[in-house]
Amino acid sequence: MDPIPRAFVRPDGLEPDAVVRALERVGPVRRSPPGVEARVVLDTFDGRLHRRGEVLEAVSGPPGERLAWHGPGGEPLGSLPAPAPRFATDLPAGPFRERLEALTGVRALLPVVRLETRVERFAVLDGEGKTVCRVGWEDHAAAAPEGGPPVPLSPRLRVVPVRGYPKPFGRVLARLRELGGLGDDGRDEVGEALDALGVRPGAYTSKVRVALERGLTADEAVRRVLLHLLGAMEANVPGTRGAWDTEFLHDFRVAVRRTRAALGQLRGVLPADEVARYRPEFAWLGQVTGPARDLDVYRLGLPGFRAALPPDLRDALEPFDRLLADRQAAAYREVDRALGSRRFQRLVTGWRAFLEAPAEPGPGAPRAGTAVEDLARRRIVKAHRRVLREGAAIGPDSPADAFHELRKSCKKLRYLLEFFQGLFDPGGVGRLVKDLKGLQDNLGAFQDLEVQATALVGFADALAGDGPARTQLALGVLVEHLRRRQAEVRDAFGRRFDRFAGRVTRKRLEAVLRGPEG
Amino acid sequence: MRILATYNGKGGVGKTAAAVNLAYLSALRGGRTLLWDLDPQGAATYYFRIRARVKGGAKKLLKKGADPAAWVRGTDYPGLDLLPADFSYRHLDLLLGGGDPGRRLRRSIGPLAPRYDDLFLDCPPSVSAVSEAVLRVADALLVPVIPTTLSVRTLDQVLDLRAACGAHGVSVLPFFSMVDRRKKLHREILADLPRRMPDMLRTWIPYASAVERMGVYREPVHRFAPRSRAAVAFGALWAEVAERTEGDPPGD
Ligand SMILES: Nc1ncnc2c1ncn2[C@@H]1O[C@H](COP(=O)(O)OP(=O)(O)OP(=O)(O)O)[C@@H](O)[C@H]1O
Ligand SMILES: [Mg+2]
Repeated sequence: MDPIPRAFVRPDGLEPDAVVRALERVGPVRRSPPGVEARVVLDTFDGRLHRRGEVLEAVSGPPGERLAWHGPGGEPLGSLPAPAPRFATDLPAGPFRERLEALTGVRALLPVVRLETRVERFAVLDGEGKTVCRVGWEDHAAAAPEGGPPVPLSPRLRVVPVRGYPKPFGRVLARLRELGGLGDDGRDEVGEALDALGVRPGAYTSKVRVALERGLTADEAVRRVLLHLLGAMEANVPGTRGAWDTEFLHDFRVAVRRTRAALGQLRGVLPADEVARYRPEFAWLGQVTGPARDLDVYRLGLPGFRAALPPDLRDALEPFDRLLADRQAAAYREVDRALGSRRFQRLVTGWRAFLEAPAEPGPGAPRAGTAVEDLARRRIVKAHRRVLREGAAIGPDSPADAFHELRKSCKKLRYLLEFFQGLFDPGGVGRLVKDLKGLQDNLGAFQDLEVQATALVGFADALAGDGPARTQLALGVLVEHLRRRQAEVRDAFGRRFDRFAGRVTRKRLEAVLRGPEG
Repeated sequence: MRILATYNGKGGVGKTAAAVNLAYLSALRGGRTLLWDLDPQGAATYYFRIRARVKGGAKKLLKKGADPAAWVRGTDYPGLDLLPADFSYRHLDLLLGGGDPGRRLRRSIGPLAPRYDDLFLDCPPSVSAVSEAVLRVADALLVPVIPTTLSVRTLDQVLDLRAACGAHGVSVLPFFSMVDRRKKLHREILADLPRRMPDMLRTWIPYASAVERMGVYREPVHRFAPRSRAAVAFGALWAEVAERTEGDPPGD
């Protein structure tokens, strides 16, 4: 194993010359002129890099702009001369982009924290003039991504090993320690900056994580779940309104849909009249954000569409993409207006106040006092039965609607499992969700293809007046391609459903619901 | 991990110059890159100021279960590592030969795959078990060809070798090296050979003093003469190689 880089906190009164003298006892030292670097740490909104302990930063300094990517131990994962990209796909083709894209997918790289670093570098050489250890004399200041006053951080002395030269690294450490006063605070300046600014990348996750205990009343538990979902909606508002990436709107909509499912599936728990006031409001949110999501899906599917066309028709989709882009921009303006409206403000504040208010037993909420695990069991069993019933009724000639209905029922079951997972064995719930996901993926693919094919026909009409004939032709080819894929997906449905309806999954569900004491 | 080997049975044609400069460019473009100097003479190792020594020798390095990463050394450039040459590599034929010659080399390379995007193999000038093993594990052979009648013949030998050892998976990508456009023969072969050899890369490397000076500076040309003709040519060559080998199914 390679030794890992160290970022010591420098004591007061230490001078660079003293460091150089210490290093010269290990080998000749090459000193680079001091420079100032402006650094921006980048991550996705859900902190995909941070969660892996990795740091990606855009550095602009004297040699130009570059991206530097490091692993949990500070080991280099790649370096690329390029400015900060908004998406991994903005980078030049190559392994760096491929690896980053595999991690970030469609998520944008957003600034997490800004650092200004004044650095003087020393390279310790061997007899051949080869660098065998690197040392940096660094002064850092941090600022929030949107700007604001810089916060000075601890001055540091960074010692970076060169792979395959552990001995000079050890010697350098020993010589530097002799200078005295080097501090180790178990982090580097990036960690310190996050702490100083109170930034926690990855604090947001699109997963439902609600702490519930058995014995809790249904009322209390459902309020907790709904508060969590409200938090998810709110967390995604700025990114949705700013169209930072397509996941914000998607996650926002999922939180809305989960909320609506909870209100529909868990009747009798919250006061009926209050719920009746809010349900149309959440329906409105689902509906005003729908067109923008559909257009996101079309545009995200475009590379796949292109690949499905014969090469000489691929560029024929440009007018189509422009049409989509125009409509997408218009749809996002609608979303922005809705989420900036008084109506939305009132919905959010009113809903939060309602959820946070202490529960009062009333006639509109006969199940408020039920133990949550009983409620959860009953609802899950019901939703599961419904999936089995609807799925079994689907045959080779069933209309697309039947698939759509089944898909909705699957989603309800999935949401219930996720809301209440804290009450049951997490491993068991995880496996169930996985079983269900196999079926959901099939149904989702079927539905997406249905929607896409229908939409393409609509777009072809919209382009009929001024679109070139080649574009029409390309869209025709695509519709046919989508219909073919849809037939394949439908063929696979039977197998998927049988697996889900089979004994293994059923037993799994029973075991989970029975619970540990069962 | 993509495996690229600079190979030609003939000596002094520019294999090492290409391996060093292309590996440098691969790393500069964001690839995690390793260059393995397979030549006991250790020219590539020398260019990086690294000692041509592998503790325990080739035998230990190629032993079953050994992880070559333990011998890897970081160069002075981000993203670029070197697996040094060693005098014991003169016995590489014995160690890699016998049975399926690609098997042992593939086994040794295995642990490197998750850590690197590109592996360059700089081969010694020979037609041997080493070359055969390399042909079997590499995704592409980069073959420098000096535009002279004799050198062109060695290219045919590379193709013969590929056929003889049944290494059909490897693409052979020849490119002209040490080109002197003032020479009539060079100009003629430059025009003729690509017609016969459609896989030939379009970029050629000029005969240039900057390449010779690599031995003085002990650095890739881009470090000390980034605007030289040679640096520009290697830049174009890397772009072409990267494109031609993109999506080459990595053999793992
Ligand atoms: N394009 C070039 N212009 C000028 N000199 C070059 C060029 N390419 C290589 N040389 C010089 O030619 C000599 C041989 O080059 P190189 O070591 O790259 O060839 P090689 O094929 O690896 O040789 P070997 O077979 O000995 O391993 C070196 O001294 C090198 O500096
Ligand atoms: Mg050589």
